[in-house]
Amino acid sequence: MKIVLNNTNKELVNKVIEYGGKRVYECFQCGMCASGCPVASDTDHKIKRTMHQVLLGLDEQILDKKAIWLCTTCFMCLERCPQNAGPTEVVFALRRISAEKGIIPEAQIEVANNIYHLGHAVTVQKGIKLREKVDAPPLTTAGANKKYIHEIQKIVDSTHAGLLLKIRKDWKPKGDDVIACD
Amino acid sequence: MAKSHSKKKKDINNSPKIGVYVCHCGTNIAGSVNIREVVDFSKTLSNVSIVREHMYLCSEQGQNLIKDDIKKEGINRVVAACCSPRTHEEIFRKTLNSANLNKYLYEQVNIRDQCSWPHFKDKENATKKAKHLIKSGVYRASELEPLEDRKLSVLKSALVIGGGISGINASLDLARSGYKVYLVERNPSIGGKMAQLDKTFPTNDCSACILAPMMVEVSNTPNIELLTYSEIENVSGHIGKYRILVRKKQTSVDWEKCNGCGDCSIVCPVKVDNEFNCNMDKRKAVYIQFQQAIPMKAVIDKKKCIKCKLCEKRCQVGAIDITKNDDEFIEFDVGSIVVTTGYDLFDPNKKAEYDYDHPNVITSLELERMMCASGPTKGEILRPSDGRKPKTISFIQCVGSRDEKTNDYCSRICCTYSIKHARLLKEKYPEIDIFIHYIDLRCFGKGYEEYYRMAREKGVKFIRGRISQVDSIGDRLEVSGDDDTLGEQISVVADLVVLAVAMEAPRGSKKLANLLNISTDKTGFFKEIHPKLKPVSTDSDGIFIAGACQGPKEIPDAVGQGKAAASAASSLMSKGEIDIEPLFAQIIEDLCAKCRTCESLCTYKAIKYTEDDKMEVDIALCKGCGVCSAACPSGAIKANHFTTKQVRMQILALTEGIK
Repeated sequence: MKIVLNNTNKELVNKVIEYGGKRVYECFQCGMCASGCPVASDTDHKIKRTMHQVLLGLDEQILDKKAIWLCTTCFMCLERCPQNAGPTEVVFALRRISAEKGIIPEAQIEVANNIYHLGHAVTVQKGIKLREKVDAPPLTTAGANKKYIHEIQKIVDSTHAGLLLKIRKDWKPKGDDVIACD
Repeated sequence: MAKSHSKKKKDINNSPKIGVYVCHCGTNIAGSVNIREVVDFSKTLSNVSIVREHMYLCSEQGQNLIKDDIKKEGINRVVAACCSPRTHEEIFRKTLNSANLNKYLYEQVNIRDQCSWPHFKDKENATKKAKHLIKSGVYRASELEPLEDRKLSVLKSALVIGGGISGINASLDLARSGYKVYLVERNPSIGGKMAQLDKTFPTNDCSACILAPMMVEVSNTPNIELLTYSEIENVSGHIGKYRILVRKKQTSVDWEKCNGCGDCSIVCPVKVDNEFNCNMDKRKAVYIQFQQAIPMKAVIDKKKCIKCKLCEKRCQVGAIDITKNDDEFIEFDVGSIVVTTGYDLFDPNKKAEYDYDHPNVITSLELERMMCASGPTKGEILRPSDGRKPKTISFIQCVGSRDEKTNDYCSRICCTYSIKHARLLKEKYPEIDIFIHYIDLRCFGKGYEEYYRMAREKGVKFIRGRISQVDSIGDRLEVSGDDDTLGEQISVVADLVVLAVAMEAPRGSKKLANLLNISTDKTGFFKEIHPKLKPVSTDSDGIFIAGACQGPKEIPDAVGQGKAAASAASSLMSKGEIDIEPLFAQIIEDLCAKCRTCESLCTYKAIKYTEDDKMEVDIALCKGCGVCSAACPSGAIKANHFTTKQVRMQILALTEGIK
């Protein structure tokens, strides 16, 4: 199918700028971002193309797809971009726009709930118990202490983030992990 | 004088004592020619008394080596086995001169372009060929004769052909240096293509604002004789004294009387296409080319005039006489010529897929005229089909450029002028969607990168990929093509399509090249002698080229070259005389039977039969090609520096031992 470039979403680029991708206009499609991207070879995340799609207003091609969520946010493209167009910032902006529309992949929802309920992006409960068993010093990160987890929850609850990220109070972590703060 | 005479004698009387100098040229030569072997071989050749090698013979150190050998070792012939005489012969000749040895006792053997470069994979044969060529050079050197340069007087006046921005700059610079300048322009006014432009990149200067003062200066400079509405009819003569015949086309308006009021145009009932506005509106049969025209004089278009005489009656100063029909001819002599005939645009009809027939498909120059306040739409951008304002505009780049089917070269200015158009349009009408479809964006000049960035910031959409075709759908146009980044076919429904058409050699460039005896390249543009080192010089000494007639060029480059050509012409004329190489044909009168075979064969028209029954060589015209000498049935023509004996020795050297 031919892509018709009229009647595309002209507001997309302005929204990306508003949501943090301030220099997206500077992109001149050199491909420096894509050339060093660690996930590009194995995924659909083609950052050079994404930048172009933003400028053309092709929102359906970006926001409905998982690609922008596959970025590892390693910031290599942002470091190397010769025009300082900030490709990673554009990705962040797109994720924000996407989340606002309620389009978030399952994996990201799981990570958000992990952080909300466990204080970590990945579950660590097994590790905490193992440490006790071998007399290793206890974890000092957020996940180790209810107090910290409550603080995280307080922050999330006071914003729209919880709604956007589909935080569920009845959430159960995957596998045999348990929720520490209950 | 006496000293040089005795020197000359010494040269001839002494038996040849040849020095052979082999240059490594870094690894350029030494990389694929065995220098050691070549040096040893050269030592075995007769008359050779010294053989040396050097890493860079053209360095001061290398040249001192030769000088010392001439002075201390009594070397009286020099053979340099190195690079091309095209670039280095002059340097080595000067070396000989500074060591008091006649500079024509020098022979250069090009073992780089002819041995190491073409045979870089075959060291053995490259070395063998180098030896052969050096042997040939040495044999020839034994027969070289000292020659003296001739002096030729040079007139301190110049002809500039073409009154665009390049020619205007060349004329002004030459006139400021004190030379008489004849500026010939085929249109009624000077100004060229730049006069048609609205704004110029990268500063968005108003074109007329920066051009008009220069045009006025041309008309106010007493040293410049402005011949507009004129064409070169004939050129004869040679460097230092060219005789020029100019045809001044009949205007039927006495320019001495005409005050440029324009009343004649108002009453004229005949409307014809206005070339200055790219035929987008009409002018009258009697007209002044444009508002800032220099000279500000009316012209009657003889082909369109219906001879109603209304203008004649209206003209208050009585300048018009429509019965005048004959062209005027003007003849004058000049010392040098600067050619600045500019360019013409590619005819987009040759690319049928872009549907130039459609009124809303226009060229960039047409858009430029529309954008200009004095243009056909008074600066408004309107669809030619219905006069409505466009919502979407597509720019198609490289129309007739970088295309083997039309012109294989890049026209160099189209990327930046399309960006200029897009920017100016976005500034005036931010709501218009603008797409630029390009292959590469080549915005290479000072300040251009920033210029391009600002276009991106204004929201101009740059799509990398060719457009395959333009189709009309309803009252709009569908532009279909490729988007390289998306990896998909795309289409844009546009109201106006602008074609960035290629710059081509100007109409009549072949004819002018023949008149001037200069070359054109395969694209029809005039050819410089050397693209880097002699960018404004031509095959014909004393004739220079500048601006877009040499190849696609933007305004700053055209101005730069105009000034460069003025400087080159000026340095040629400043002394009033020049040295010319004595490499011309000489008639041995006692042997000549006046069969005039040579006269008919000479490409340069340098040999003529004179009234007193003699054949005469014009040494300023003769290029020393030797055709006459080879053809002369009685051996009555000696080609200086390429005598029969010298050539025979070379042949002997190359064929000796071959059975």
